[in-house]
Amino acid sequence: MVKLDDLLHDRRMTLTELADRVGLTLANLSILKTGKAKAIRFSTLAAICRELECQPGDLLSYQTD
Amino acid sequence: MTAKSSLGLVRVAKLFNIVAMFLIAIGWVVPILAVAMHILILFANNLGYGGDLIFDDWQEAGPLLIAFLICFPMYFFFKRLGAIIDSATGSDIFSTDNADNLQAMAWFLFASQAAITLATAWNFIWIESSDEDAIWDNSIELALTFPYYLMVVVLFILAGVFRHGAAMRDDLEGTV
Repeated sequence: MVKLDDLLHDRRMTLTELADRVGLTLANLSILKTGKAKAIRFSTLAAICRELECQPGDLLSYQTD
Repeated sequence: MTAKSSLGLVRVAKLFNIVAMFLIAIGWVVPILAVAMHILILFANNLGYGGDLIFDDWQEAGPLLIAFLICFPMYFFFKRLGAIIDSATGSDIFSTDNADNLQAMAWFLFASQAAITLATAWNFIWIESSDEDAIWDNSIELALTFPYYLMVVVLFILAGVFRHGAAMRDDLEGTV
Protein backbone atom coordinates (compact mmCIF):
# COMPACT_ATOMS: atom_id res chain seq x y z
CA MET A 1 0.00 0.00 0.00
CA VAL A 2 1.28 3.45 -0.95
CA LYS A 3 0.72 6.19 1.63
CA LEU A 4 1.58 9.07 -0.68
CA ASP A 5 -1.71 10.85 0.00
CA ASP A 6 -1.04 11.05 3.77
CA LEU A 7 2.54 12.23 3.25
CA LEU A 8 1.45 14.93 0.80
CA HIS A 9 -1.24 16.07 3.22
CA ASP A 10 1.26 16.25 6.12
CA ARG A 11 3.72 18.24 3.98
CA ARG A 12 0.97 20.51 2.58
CA MET A 13 2.16 19.62 -0.91
CA THR A 14 0.10 18.99 -4.02
CA LEU A 15 0.61 16.04 -6.36
CA THR A 16 1.45 18.41 -9.22
CA GLU A 17 4.13 20.11 -7.13
CA LEU A 18 5.69 16.78 -6.19
CA ALA A 19 5.57 15.63 -9.81
CA ASP A 20 7.50 18.77 -10.84
CA ARG A 21 10.10 18.32 -8.10
CA VAL A 22 10.63 14.60 -8.70
CA GLY A 23 10.54 14.88 -12.48
CA LEU A 24 7.70 12.42 -13.00
CA THR A 25 4.56 12.96 -15.01
CA LEU A 26 1.40 13.69 -13.06
CA ALA A 27 -0.18 10.63 -14.65
CA ASN A 28 2.56 8.31 -13.37
CA LEU A 29 2.45 9.81 -9.90
CA SER A 30 -1.33 9.37 -9.86
CA ILE A 31 -0.82 5.70 -10.78
CA LEU A 32 1.52 5.38 -7.78
CA LYS A 33 -0.85 7.26 -5.46
CA THR A 34 -3.88 5.16 -6.36
CA GLY A 35 -1.91 1.94 -5.86
CA LYS A 36 -2.21 0.89 -9.50
CA ALA A 37 1.56 0.83 -10.10
CA LYS A 38 3.09 -2.61 -10.63
CA ALA A 39 6.62 -1.54 -9.70
CA ILE A 40 8.59 1.47 -8.54
CA ARG A 41 12.14 2.33 -9.59
CA PHE A 42 14.72 2.92 -6.86
CA SER A 43 15.45 6.29 -8.46
CA THR A 44 11.76 7.29 -8.20
CA LEU A 45 11.57 6.08 -4.59
CA ALA A 46 14.74 7.97 -3.69
CA ALA A 47 13.50 11.15 -5.37
CA ILE A 48 10.12 11.03 -3.59
CA CYS A 49 11.79 10.34 -0.23
CA ARG A 50 14.21 13.22 -0.87
CA GLU A 51 11.41 15.69 -1.64
CA LEU A 52 9.07 14.52 1.12
CA GLU A 53 11.95 14.09 3.61
CA CYS A 54 10.86 10.62 4.58
CA GLN A 55 12.00 7.00 4.51
CA PRO A 56 10.75 4.37 2.03
CA GLY A 57 8.96 2.71 4.93
CA ASP A 58 6.96 5.90 5.49
CA LEU A 59 5.76 5.72 1.88
CA LEU A 60 5.12 2.00 1.56
CA SER A 61 3.40 -0.46 3.86
CA TYR A 62 2.20 -4.05 3.55
CA GLN A 63 -1.31 -5.21 4.36
CA THR A 64 -2.65 -8.74 4.11
CA ASP A 65 -5.74 -9.15 1.92
CA MET B 1 15.59 0.66 -39.96
CA THR B 2 14.09 4.13 -40.28
CA ALA B 3 10.45 4.84 -39.56
CA LYS B 4 9.93 5.81 -43.21
CA SER B 5 11.30 2.54 -44.63
CA SER B 6 9.39 0.61 -41.98
CA LEU B 7 6.16 2.32 -43.06
CA GLY B 8 7.01 1.44 -46.66
CA LEU B 9 7.41 -2.22 -45.72
CA VAL B 10 4.07 -2.16 -43.92
CA ARG B 11 2.46 -0.80 -47.09
CA VAL B 12 4.09 -3.56 -49.16
CA ALA B 13 2.85 -6.15 -46.64
CA LYS B 14 -0.66 -4.67 -46.83
CA LEU B 15 -0.59 -4.89 -50.63
CA PHE B 16 0.70 -8.47 -50.43
CA ASN B 17 -2.15 -9.32 -48.07
CA ILE B 18 -4.74 -7.85 -50.44
CA VAL B 19 -3.27 -9.86 -53.35
CA ALA B 20 -3.34 -13.02 -51.20
CA MET B 21 -7.02 -12.41 -50.33
CA PHE B 22 -7.76 -11.92 -54.04
CA LEU B 23 -6.05 -15.23 -54.88
CA ILE B 24 -8.05 -16.95 -52.13
CA ALA B 25 -11.25 -15.56 -53.65
CA ILE B 26 -10.16 -17.05 -57.01
CA GLY B 27 -9.40 -20.31 -55.21
CA TRP B 28 -13.01 -20.38 -54.01
CA VAL B 29 -14.70 -19.26 -57.20
CA VAL B 30 -12.80 -21.37 -59.79
CA PRO B 31 -13.59 -24.82 -58.26
CA ILE B 32 -17.25 -23.88 -57.81
CA LEU B 33 -17.51 -22.66 -61.41
CA ALA B 34 -15.62 -25.71 -62.77
CA VAL B 35 -17.82 -28.20 -60.92
CA ALA B 36 -20.98 -26.27 -61.85
CA MET B 37 -19.92 -26.19 -65.52
CA HIS B 38 -19.09 -29.91 -65.41
CA ILE B 39 -22.51 -30.75 -63.98
CA LEU B 40 -24.24 -28.53 -66.56
CA ILE B 41 -22.34 -30.15 -69.44
CA LEU B 42 -23.16 -33.62 -68.03
CA PHE B 43 -26.81 -32.60 -67.90
CA ALA B 44 -26.64 -31.21 -71.46
CA ASN B 45 -24.98 -34.41 -72.69
CA ASN B 46 -27.82 -36.42 -71.19
CA LEU B 47 -30.26 -34.26 -73.13
CA GLY B 48 -28.30 -34.97 -76.29
CA TYR B 49 -26.64 -31.59 -76.84
CA GLY B 50 -23.07 -32.78 -76.29
CA GLY B 51 -19.95 -30.92 -75.24
CA ASP B 52 -16.50 -31.48 -73.79
CA LEU B 53 -16.55 -32.23 -70.09
CA ILE B 54 -14.30 -30.21 -67.75
CA PHE B 55 -13.05 -33.36 -65.98
CA ASP B 56 -12.55 -36.75 -67.59
CA ASP B 57 -13.65 -38.30 -64.29
CA TRP B 58 -14.51 -36.96 -60.83
CA GLN B 59 -11.05 -37.92 -59.55
CA GLU B 60 -9.62 -35.07 -61.64
CA ALA B 61 -11.70 -32.62 -59.60
CA GLY B 62 -9.80 -33.70 -56.45
CA PRO B 63 -7.00 -31.09 -56.62
CA LEU B 64 -9.59 -28.33 -57.17
CA LEU B 65 -11.61 -29.55 -54.21
CA ILE B 66 -8.44 -29.60 -52.05
CA ALA B 67 -7.58 -26.05 -53.24
CA PHE B 68 -11.13 -24.97 -52.35
CA LEU B 69 -10.86 -26.45 -48.85
CA ILE B 70 -7.36 -25.08 -48.22
CA CYS B 71 -8.62 -21.60 -49.03
CA PHE B 72 -10.62 -21.62 -45.75
CA PRO B 73 -7.66 -21.86 -43.32
CA MET B 74 -5.62 -19.60 -45.61
CA TYR B 75 -8.36 -16.95 -45.58
CA PHE B 76 -8.28 -16.87 -41.78
CA PHE B 77 -4.45 -16.96 -41.89
CA PHE B 78 -4.30 -13.82 -44.02
CA LYS B 79 -7.10 -12.17 -42.05
CA ARG B 80 -5.02 -12.54 -38.87
CA LEU B 81 -1.92 -11.38 -40.75
CA GLY B 82 -3.87 -8.30 -41.86
CA ALA B 83 -4.73 -7.54 -38.23
CA ILE B 84 -1.04 -7.72 -37.30
CA ILE B 85 -0.08 -5.49 -40.25
CA ASP B 86 -2.73 -2.95 -39.21
CA SER B 87 -1.37 -2.85 -35.67
CA ALA B 88 2.21 -2.47 -36.98
CA THR B 89 1.62 1.19 -37.75
CA GLY B 90 0.58 1.90 -34.14
CA SER B 91 2.53 1.57 -30.94
CA ASP B 92 0.79 -1.57 -29.67
CA ILE B 93 2.55 -4.24 -31.72
CA PHE B 94 3.61 -6.23 -28.65
CA SER B 95 0.12 -7.09 -27.49
CA THR B 96 -1.59 -10.28 -26.40
CA ASP B 97 -3.96 -9.80 -29.37
CA ASN B 98 -1.04 -10.13 -31.78
CA ALA B 99 0.28 -13.12 -29.85
CA ASP B 100 -3.16 -14.73 -30.30
CA ASN B 101 -3.10 -13.75 -33.99
CA LEU B 102 0.29 -15.41 -34.51
CA GLN B 103 -0.81 -18.55 -32.68
CA ALA B 104 -3.99 -18.74 -34.76
CA MET B 105 -1.92 -18.21 -37.94
CA ALA B 106 0.29 -21.14 -36.92
CA TRP B 107 -2.76 -23.40 -36.51
CA PHE B 108 -4.35 -22.27 -39.80
CA LEU B 109 -1.09 -22.84 -41.68
CA PHE B 110 -0.74 -26.24 -40.03
CA ALA B 111 -4.31 -27.13 -41.06
CA SER B 112 -3.69 -26.17 -44.69
CA GLN B 113 -0.36 -28.02 -44.87
CA ALA B 114 -1.77 -31.08 -43.13
CA ALA B 115 -4.54 -31.12 -45.75
CA ILE B 116 -1.95 -30.96 -48.56
CA THR B 117 0.15 -33.72 -46.94
CA LEU B 118 -2.88 -35.96 -46.43
CA ALA B 119 -4.09 -35.31 -49.99
CA THR B 120 -0.66 -36.12 -51.42
CA ALA B 121 -0.42 -39.28 -49.33
CA TRP B 122 -3.96 -40.28 -50.33
CA ASN B 123 -3.16 -39.57 -53.98
CA PHE B 124 -0.09 -41.78 -53.79
CA ILE B 125 -1.57 -44.64 -51.78
CA TRP B 126 -4.89 -44.99 -53.60
CA ILE B 127 -4.28 -43.65 -57.07
CA GLU B 128 -0.65 -43.77 -58.13
CA SER B 129 0.83 -46.57 -56.00
CA SER B 130 1.34 -48.70 -59.11
CA ASP B 131 3.14 -45.93 -60.97
CA GLU B 132 6.90 -45.84 -60.26
CA ASP B 133 7.26 -42.21 -61.34
CA ALA B 134 4.60 -41.25 -58.80
CA ILE B 135 6.90 -42.24 -55.92
CA TRP B 136 9.37 -39.57 -57.02
CA ASP B 137 6.67 -36.96 -57.77
CA ASN B 138 4.93 -37.43 -54.43
CA SER B 139 8.21 -37.41 -52.53
CA ILE B 140 9.07 -34.01 -54.04
CA GLU B 141 5.59 -32.71 -53.23
CA LEU B 142 5.83 -33.86 -49.60
CA ALA B 143 9.34 -32.40 -49.27
CA LEU B 144 8.05 -29.06 -50.55
CA THR B 145 5.68 -28.81 -47.57
CA PHE B 146 8.61 -28.98 -45.11
CA PRO B 147 9.35 -25.20 -45.12
CA TYR B 148 5.68 -24.55 -44.30
CA TYR B 149 5.83 -26.89 -41.31
CA LEU B 150 9.00 -25.06 -40.27
CA MET B 151 7.07 -21.80 -40.57
CA VAL B 152 4.35 -23.25 -38.32
CA VAL B 153 6.98 -23.89 -35.64
CA VAL B 154 8.46 -20.40 -36.12
CA LEU B 155 4.99 -18.86 -35.80
CA PHE B 156 4.37 -20.71 -32.53
CA ILE B 157 7.74 -19.47 -31.22
CA LEU B 158 6.96 -15.92 -32.36
CA ALA B 159 3.57 -16.10 -30.62
CA GLY B 160 5.39 -17.02 -27.40
CA VAL B 161 7.85 -14.16 -27.90
CA PHE B 162 5.01 -11.71 -28.48
CA ARG B 163 3.13 -12.97 -25.40
CA HIS B 164 6.26 -12.52 -23.28
CA GLY B 165 6.92 -9.12 -24.88
CA ALA B 166 3.35 -8.01 -24.16
CA ALA B 167 3.71 -9.05 -20.50
CA MET B 168 7.03 -7.17 -20.25
CA ARG B 169 5.50 -4.08 -21.84
CA ASP B 170 2.59 -4.30 -19.43
CA ASP B 171 5.04 -4.45 -16.52
CA LEU B 172 7.02 -1.54 -17.89
CA GLU B 173 3.89 0.56 -18.29
CA GLY B 174 3.02 -0.14 -14.65
CA THR B 175 6.46 0.92 -13.45
CA VAL B 176 6.80 4.46 -12.18
